[in-house]
Amino acid sequence: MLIARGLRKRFGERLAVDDLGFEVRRGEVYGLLGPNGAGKTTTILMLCGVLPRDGGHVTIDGLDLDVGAAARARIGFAPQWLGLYLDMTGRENLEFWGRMVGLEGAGLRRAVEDSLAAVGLAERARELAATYSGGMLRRLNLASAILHRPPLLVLDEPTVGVDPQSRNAIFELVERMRGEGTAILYTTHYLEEAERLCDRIGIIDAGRLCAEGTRGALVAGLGVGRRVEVGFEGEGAAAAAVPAVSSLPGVEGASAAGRTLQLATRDGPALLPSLLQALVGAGLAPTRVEVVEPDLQEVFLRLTGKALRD
Amino acid sequence: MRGALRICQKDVRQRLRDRTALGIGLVAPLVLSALIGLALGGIRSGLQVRLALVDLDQTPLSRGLADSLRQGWPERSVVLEPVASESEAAAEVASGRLGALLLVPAGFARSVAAGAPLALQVRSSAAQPLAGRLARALARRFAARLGAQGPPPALEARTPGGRLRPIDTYAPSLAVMFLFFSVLGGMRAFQAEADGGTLVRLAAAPLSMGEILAGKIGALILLGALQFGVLGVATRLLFGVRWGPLFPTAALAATTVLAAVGVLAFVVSAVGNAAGGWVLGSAVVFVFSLLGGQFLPPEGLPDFFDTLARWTPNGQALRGFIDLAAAGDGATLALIREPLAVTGVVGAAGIAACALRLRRPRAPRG
Repeated sequence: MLIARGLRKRFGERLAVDDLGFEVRRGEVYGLLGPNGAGKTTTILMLCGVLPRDGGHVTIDGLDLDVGAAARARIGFAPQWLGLYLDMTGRENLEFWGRMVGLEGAGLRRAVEDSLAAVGLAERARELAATYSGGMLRRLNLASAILHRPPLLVLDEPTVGVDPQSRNAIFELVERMRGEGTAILYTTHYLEEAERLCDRIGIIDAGRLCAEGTRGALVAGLGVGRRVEVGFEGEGAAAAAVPAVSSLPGVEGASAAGRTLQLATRDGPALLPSLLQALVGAGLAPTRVEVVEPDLQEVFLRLTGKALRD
Repeated sequence: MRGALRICQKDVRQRLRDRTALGIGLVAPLVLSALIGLALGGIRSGLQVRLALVDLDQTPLSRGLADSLRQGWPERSVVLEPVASESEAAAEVASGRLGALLLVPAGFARSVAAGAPLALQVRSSAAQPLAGRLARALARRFAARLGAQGPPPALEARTPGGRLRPIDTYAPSLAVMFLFFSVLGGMRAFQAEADGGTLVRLAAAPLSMGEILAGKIGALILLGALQFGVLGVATRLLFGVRWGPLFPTAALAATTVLAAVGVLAFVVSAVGNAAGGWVLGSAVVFVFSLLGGQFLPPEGLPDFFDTLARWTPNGQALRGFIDLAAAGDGATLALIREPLAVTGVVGAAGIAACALRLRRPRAPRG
């Protein structure tokens, strides 16, 4: 549905996006993850035709983004800022944005009703958007992007600052639209969202795509193993345990963080018997032992050297 | 251009809902016009203006000018006194007995026949700015006729608008000033859209940036024209304000609206944020109003201020409206050539600069 190749954008001396390329397929949620300033919003604005590119090529549903407005008519864009008019009602907002994508008359009225129902705002549609909560505004923002049932939905941080109820409503809508065959480009700062919703993930840093794939493929591709964490009651016990366990077979690294001993290993469960034996032998009594599965946070940290929220 | 129309429609509807905007745009100028009109001589009674007419040319053409002025004033609201010499007339003006002098220089008819007419001279008393303004308007009207018809002109004896009262000058003055403030409010809302990101979102819709800007600027122009039209009709009906003939007045109103939109679109978009644009825009409107004679007629100030007023689009607009009112039914577009040109060019240039600035909307930070 969306094919982007060799995207490049420079702001003065700074190369904001450098040879970036990816695809989003029908019925797929593609997560674009990256720390602040990585180039996500710049990429999205180029894909939506708002920001001119310095290089690269974009097609949407087989249509060249640079030729006419047909490709842009196939995009539903919900920006991370609220692209809404607070002095208009929810319904008026949707009517306006519907007209902006070419809807009129009965088609527009039907689209507005459907979108309001989809985000659970039908009851409040006659109220000014200024009276909505943050979560309701996010839902209205999303509703305004799906009015024309676009084959490509671009959601930029759609759950920032929303309550759990609104977040769940947004998740359900995204999953439903994926089920209907919509291609969804999704950016977020929340890894749990990416893990739950995204079929494939692209990790972007300094304007370049560092890695791409399913969650499992990303974890496996980096060779990130499980982690074993051991908790102690007393101060200094974790640090004292480091020399006792560092040389155990299967331990790739050991470090102490407060009262917790952290061990990098390929196979956590297999390590446990020898680990406990070594700790008891060193006169240390653990209060907690946990095998931690690798997650996107670790992948992200290894690839970019930063936490996602940095 | 359906997208542009839809955007324009939405913006107009939003602005008409804004009660503050309506207060600034309509109520304030109406109330102030009435108050100032009442304070400075009433809104029903005419003001008597006494002018000295010094004819140093003494030719049929110059006498024709004097005759046409004499015949045109109803109810003796303007009194023309022939005075033999310039110095005598200047003394009368300085003493305050006469409000202004209108001087036809020697050789005037000959210069007209040669195709290079000498300027009619006007001197006013600081104590009677309205008389000076009226005399200038009459001189300009006569000069415009000379230019329009070619020498020698056929003088017509007609009513030149002798009932010009304070409210006849303050109504257009306030209308122009509050037009600028209203347009500033609209432009602030436009810039707030750019700041808030709805403009970026519009740019992502299947519309050209030209359509978007046409819709936005079109709404400002439409609202400005609506405001001016309502004020014109309301002041005419409520206070009997003279606005001059419909066609040239409407043309000048249109270019004045264009100028207000152009100046403020340029200022606010150059600042690049709504709050800063409002502050600088207000300062610009205030300074322009001061220089343009909206607070104090420049005729009551040193001549330098009259020159400055001509450099401001609102000053030009005001001058044009007063000339039209003073000239009455005989006024044509030729009389207000300069105000039309200045306001039109300023408006077009400002709008072009704003469009250039906003053609690539920026995403909000965060």
